[in-house]
Amino acid sequence: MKKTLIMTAALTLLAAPAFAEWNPDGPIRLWIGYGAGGGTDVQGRTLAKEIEALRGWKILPENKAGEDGTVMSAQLKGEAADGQTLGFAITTTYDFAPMNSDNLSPEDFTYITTTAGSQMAVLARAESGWQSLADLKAAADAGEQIVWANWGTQVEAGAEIVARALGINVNHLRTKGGKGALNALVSMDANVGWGGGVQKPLVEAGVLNILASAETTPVALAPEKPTLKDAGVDLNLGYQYIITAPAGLPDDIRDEIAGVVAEILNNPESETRQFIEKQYPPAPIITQGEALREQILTTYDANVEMMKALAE
Amino acid sequence: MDLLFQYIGLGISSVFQGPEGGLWLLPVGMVLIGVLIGIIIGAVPGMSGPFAMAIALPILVSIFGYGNEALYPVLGCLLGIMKGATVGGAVPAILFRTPGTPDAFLTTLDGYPMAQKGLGRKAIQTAHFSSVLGDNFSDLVLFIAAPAIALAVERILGLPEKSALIILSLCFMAAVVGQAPLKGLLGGLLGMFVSLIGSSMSGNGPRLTFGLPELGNGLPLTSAVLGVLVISEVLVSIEDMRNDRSSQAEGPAKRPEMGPRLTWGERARMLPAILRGASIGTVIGALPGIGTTTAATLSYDSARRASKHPEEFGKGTPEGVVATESANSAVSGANLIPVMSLGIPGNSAAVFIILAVETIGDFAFGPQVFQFTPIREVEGFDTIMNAGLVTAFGMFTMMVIANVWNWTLGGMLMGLLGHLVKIPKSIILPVILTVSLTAAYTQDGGYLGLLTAAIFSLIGYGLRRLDVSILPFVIGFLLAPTLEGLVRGAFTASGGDPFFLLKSPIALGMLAVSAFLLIRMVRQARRA
Amino acid sequence: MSSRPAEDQADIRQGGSWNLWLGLGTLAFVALCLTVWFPRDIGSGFLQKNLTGRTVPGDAFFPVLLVGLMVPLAVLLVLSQLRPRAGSSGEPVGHIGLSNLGFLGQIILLTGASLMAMNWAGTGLVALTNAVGLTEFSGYRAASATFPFDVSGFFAGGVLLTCGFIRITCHRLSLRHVLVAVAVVAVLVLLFDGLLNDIQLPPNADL
Repeated sequence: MKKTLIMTAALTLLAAPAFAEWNPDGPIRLWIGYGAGGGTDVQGRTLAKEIEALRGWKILPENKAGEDGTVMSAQLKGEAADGQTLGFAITTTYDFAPMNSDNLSPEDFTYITTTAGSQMAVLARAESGWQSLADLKAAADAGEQIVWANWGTQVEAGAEIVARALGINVNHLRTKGGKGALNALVSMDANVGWGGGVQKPLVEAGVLNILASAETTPVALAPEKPTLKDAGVDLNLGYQYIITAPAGLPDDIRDEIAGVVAEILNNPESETRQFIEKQYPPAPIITQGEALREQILTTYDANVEMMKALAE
Repeated sequence: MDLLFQYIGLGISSVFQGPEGGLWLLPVGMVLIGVLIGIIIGAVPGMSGPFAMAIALPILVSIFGYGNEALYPVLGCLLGIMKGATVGGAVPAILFRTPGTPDAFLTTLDGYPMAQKGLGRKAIQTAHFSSVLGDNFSDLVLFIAAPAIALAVERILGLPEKSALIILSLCFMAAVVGQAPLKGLLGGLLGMFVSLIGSSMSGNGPRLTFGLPELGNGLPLTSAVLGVLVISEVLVSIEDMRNDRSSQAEGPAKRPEMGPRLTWGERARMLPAILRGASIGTVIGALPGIGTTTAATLSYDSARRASKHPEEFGKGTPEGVVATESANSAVSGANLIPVMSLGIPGNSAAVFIILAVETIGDFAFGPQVFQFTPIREVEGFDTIMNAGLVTAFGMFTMMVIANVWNWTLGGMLMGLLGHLVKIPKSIILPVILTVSLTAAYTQDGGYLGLLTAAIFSLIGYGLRRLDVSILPFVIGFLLAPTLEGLVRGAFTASGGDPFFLLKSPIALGMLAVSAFLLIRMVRQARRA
Repeated sequence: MSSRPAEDQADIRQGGSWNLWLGLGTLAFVALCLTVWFPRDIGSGFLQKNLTGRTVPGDAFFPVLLVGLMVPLAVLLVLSQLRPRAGSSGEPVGHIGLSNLGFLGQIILLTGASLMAMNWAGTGLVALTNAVGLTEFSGYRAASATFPFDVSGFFAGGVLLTCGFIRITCHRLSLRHVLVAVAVVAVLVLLFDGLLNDIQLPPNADL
């Protein structure tokens, strides 16, 4: 195998210098940080299938669910940094969750590439008539009980920050996943909630309104609505799906894998891209290498500051 | 009422309609396969329905995956096994006096003498007829009682009451299962405790993991239950065989003359007795923890007392077969009443139904299942309705399908089962062991799953050898996360009152009954 | 599920002391939990303050309640044993003797050996084929998605496990038994590795 590898490498060097220099020695294990059957799982498995088809690398997806990808990441960090054990989770796993963990740090990982991004927004039922955060504040001031649907610690902290910035009192409701938050809204268990992207059909059908974007830019569905920052709340809750490896992965391997993923995501025919366009509109988000590492580390510091401020 | 029929219609059609909307026969086929497996497994001595369900579950999940569309095929197969096994167990009991399943033990009392008298066919057909009819009866009760109880519970019970209800059912279970209620209850608490390993409620990272990151998502459920419930039983049997140096099981006894068929007139005359047996089985089955054997015993005794010829019991009267088979089969449907209305499993078969539901898709048992949410369509998103209710009616539909297979195929197959060569237990048990451990590995996170199954089988072995009943441990293990959520919610809602469980009269009443059961246990322990 | 034969008096007394040991063992376990395990291995306390400043139960809340409930039960178990009424001997209990421990030791060794075989047979096979020049893998990990290396460990371990247990139940091992074991493991390989995708047989999910 090694001999042939060197031979092919030599041949390709002569023939086409731009061709892949790195090939895995055996199968690549892709650890998906979420349970089987969910949206992250589907995205990871589709991507694995397409990488296999494009490069002929054998990719074995395995689910290691728990605590928003941190259970998987805690195991990933101890693996060999040879590009043959990769993790698939969201940026929150690395730029927020390590804060509450004794054995995780953002420095423990090599960040390869993002694939898609959230469309985080503050949502309310259309029936409520609220169109903006100001309407929400007015309703709360008029005595209406505000219940905010959240699916995790970070977004709950975010909801609390918004509530404090607006000067209103909010009861927090924990739901199971993003879909759970939407169901809580629709079934009137809550009257405000976060949506990460799954809200698209409900917003399009006019059941839910977007009050503000929690990304750095307005969300695709409601480009006219301000971001939280515009509204005077210094908060960015957007997250991306991300492929990682243990710290110390050589740059050439990192860039090779990132390149393959970019090639697939940039191909309009690819199944993964089509899945992303539908599920996480409008298009894949591809941040790679150093830029991605920079993003994770800065966001982590910002999140630490945010929680510190909140605790006071 | 309209809404009810709408939901029932949706439930029935959901079984036959695939994810893409076309005709979908997979669930029906899986129910058929399940019934076949169940009848055959039921007829193999040493195997029982829960055994087959335990091993089938991880393999089925490997095949169909975890998505919502996997629920019906997997659940259909498990329900089929559960129902098929109630029928199959009677055949070897009647022909060879070796009950295929433990609950068919009492069937040997009259079934075997009947076969010796040359009435084997009649005995088997009697068993089939009363078994399937008893099962159908309890299903009917389930279909009506589960939604009714769930609605009542959801209306009356808040967080403290629901917590108290779970505590009460654990106490009840410990009190009725086995001879050692105190240790049973301790086992229940231990089961709850181990289920907390790796879980987390407040975002501070997983707890009680000994620092092992692999445990961060908790112990793998299916492997743990497989180990404590099934593998431990296999180990106990293997040890008994190891110590039993006497000659191995002689080949199957000679098959006696089968004799005449059961006439329709005879069937009609059985109906009142079947109804009595089925009612006893249904009531017993609806209570958590009391097994099929108790139901069969009670039914047999009451049939003998009611009979005009009590002296014929034990000498080969069809009445005896009717009494035991109608009652032990009626347990299986009624067992799902607490499962579907409250999410509390009452016996091993129900445990695996709950496990399947927890493992696959979004559906979960509990009173919220039977909320009749108005159906409203939002274009492009989804129809807004209680999808759980549709699934519940889909489950009922699959049970009816299983009953149909049991009526038709079950009757035919039972006649043939006598021909099956008796598979030696000494080989089947090691095979079960290998298959279970492999399934635990492939389905539940590699060596983590396999080792969990192995360690839990040692726990189960210890409990069995010390005559502590296993069921409270398993149920505690399964219910602890729910109970923790309820208790925490109730505590928070009471504003941090340390007596938060004693504030409501209903919860207080239930806890008082639990305390009474406890005191009774202690007195019993001291008197024993 | 199994019915126990009636025990003689000595057995009951011997079994009875198990109540004592179980009770005391539980108390020791509770003490260990509260003093060592919980403080080190649970991230938040019995009660904690959430973001909005309300006091809510922490992660230790429910575990402490559970082991707390074990205490009275264990005490009752011990008391019912120490001060039984006339003519009684406490709650019925079975017992685990030396013979049982011997059996457990035997099966643990057997299972352990089989797992070792699962784990290392593949590595051995790769080393062997490399040595004779058939393959040039850098190790088992590189070969863990290539037939027959990927199932070799499971095959060896699975056959060993099944044969070992058949040897225990039948007190002997005939060729027929080995063939049954081989057939069972082959069917499992066919099912999990052949018919189903993305299912890892041991040891391939733990490399």
